[in-house]
Amino acid sequence: MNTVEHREQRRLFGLRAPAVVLVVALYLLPLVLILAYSFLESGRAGSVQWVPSLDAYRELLRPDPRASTYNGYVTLLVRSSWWAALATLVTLALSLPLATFIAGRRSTLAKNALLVAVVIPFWTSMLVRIYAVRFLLANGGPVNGWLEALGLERRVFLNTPGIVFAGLVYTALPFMVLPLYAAIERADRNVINAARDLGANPFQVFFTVFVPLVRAGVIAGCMLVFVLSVSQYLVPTLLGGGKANMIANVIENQFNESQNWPLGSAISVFLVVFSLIGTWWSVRFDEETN
Amino acid sequence: MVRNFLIVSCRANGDRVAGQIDIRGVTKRFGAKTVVDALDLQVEDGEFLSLLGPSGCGKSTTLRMIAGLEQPSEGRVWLNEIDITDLPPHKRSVNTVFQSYALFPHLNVAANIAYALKLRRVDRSKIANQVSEALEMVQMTDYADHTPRQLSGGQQQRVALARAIVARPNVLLLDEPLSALDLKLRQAMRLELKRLHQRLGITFVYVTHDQGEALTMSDRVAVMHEGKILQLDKPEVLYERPATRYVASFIGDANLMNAVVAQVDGSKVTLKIGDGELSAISATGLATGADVTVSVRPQRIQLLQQGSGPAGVILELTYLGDMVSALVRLNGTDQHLNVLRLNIDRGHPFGELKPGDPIRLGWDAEAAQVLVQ
Repeated sequence: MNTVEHREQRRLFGLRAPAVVLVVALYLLPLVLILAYSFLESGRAGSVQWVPSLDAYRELLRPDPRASTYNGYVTLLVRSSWWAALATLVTLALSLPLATFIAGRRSTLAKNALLVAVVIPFWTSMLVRIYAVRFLLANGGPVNGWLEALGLERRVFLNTPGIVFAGLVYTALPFMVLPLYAAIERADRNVINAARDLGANPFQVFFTVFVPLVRAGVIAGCMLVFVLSVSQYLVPTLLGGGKANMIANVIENQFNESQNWPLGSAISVFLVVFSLIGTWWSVRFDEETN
Repeated sequence: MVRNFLIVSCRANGDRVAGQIDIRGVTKRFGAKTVVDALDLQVEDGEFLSLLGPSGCGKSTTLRMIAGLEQPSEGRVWLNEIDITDLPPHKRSVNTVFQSYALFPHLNVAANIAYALKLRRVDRSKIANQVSEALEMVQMTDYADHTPRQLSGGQQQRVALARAIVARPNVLLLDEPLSALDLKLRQAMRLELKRLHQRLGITFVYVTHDQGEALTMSDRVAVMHEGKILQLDKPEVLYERPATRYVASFIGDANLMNAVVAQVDGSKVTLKIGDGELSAISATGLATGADVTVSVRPQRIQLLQQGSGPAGVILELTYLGDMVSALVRLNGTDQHLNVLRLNIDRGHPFGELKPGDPIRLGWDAEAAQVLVQ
């Protein structure tokens, strides 16, 4: 290897270093700490005692005497994943037409305006937005006022599983629209025209050409939305009001109210492993079908 | 003659399905911009017709309106005497070869070609036969299992061609199919396309900005400019008898000269050019004394010692290998003419002439064409 190449590589490493440091310091280290906590004994007033123990995992996997299956933690994790998966599908179904519509605009101005409209929620704090939704849908809130004005009955929106699910979709939408839009924008319009030209009706164009063309964007969007949704904390807390908790609520509960850090850590580890399996599976699916 | 014989023989086999296109008063506007302007065009059954013009002249848009990928703002499109203006693309027996090839990246070569047949629910064994026949026709048999990404531009082009003809459309539309290929491949593909057209006997409508392609392959060429057809005729007529200044300079090289009509004798006119007089052919009736433009091809101008033609002087002689060109200026004007001679004999094609020599121009009357402005 010649020296120029050497120098080039060293320079590239120098450029990469800040990113590596950031990932290690802010992401890997806390994760290792959580992993370590999950194998320790709980301290009296929160925190941990540096004594090795499997108590947390025993508690996590302890069968529930009242239920026929496992106790609440595993059931909750399964339910959270199920909701996240369903929310991902619904978000995909809503985002595909929207992203297609935006990518199909002829004028760049219209395109950008629509994209900005999708991205604006990113610029607003999620907390603020969810509080706003809470206010709108409250029992004495404006939406119920409008319903009454229209001669309809008042409804309870908040603190139901339905509103939590809707909240998941609401917060995930931009994360699905953007990768889809990028994929659709990249796709050669003439390839879709070729399918129409060769005799495919709109339905056939969609399934035999359009979806395969934008598959990478679909997978990226689904992965993002699933991981985001399965670990949602704000939505079930503020919109579900404890009536429709997800796994992140229980983790928070262990660290704060119950003061059982090892158990909270063990559930976190469980969630991370779960997400990793999902990510690994979707990456493999991507490679296999490519 | 050969072409006609092939069409007849194909018809006897029963697998020839040609189409006749009739475009009537079609206009296409994008916003305030008129891209195709009240266009009338009839494409004959089994014909190879080219739409020739610079980018933005509306030729591709015209093609896309035949395919159904664009809707005319006004006017109707007919295929085999059926009004197809409102039919979506998938209901038209018309297939397109796109400039960018537009192959399905997720399907291999065989599946790309089989696509149209699968949509028509053709039997599996029949699909296999027709796909291999199409692959053989474009000489891509060995590449059936490749994905488009593994192919060169020329190979992708062949696959796109096979994909478009496998279902035997009435009309094949080709949108600048050779423009992304290198020169040598382009020239080889011209001959292949022409052979394919003869073999299939279906109507070809070919869009190009390359006059060489249009002239070598087509039965007829339509020269387009700003959304209109300026002239539609056989290649040799376009070259020999250009109707307008634009057509004359777009197709081949032309010397355009200002002249005054001195005498009119039917289609033959005598023109006053510089200090001389020469004859030319005019398609339209002209009045004596009218200012006109006359077009003469570089190889049809004679450089003489004497005669009735205008006097000029040779400015330079340029050796081009297969040809030698002479640049001539007409006396008393700033008009420059290009004169070409083939380099066939051992001697210099312009004989003893050298730069600075005075000459007189000459040409046969039918070599010169008076243009419509």
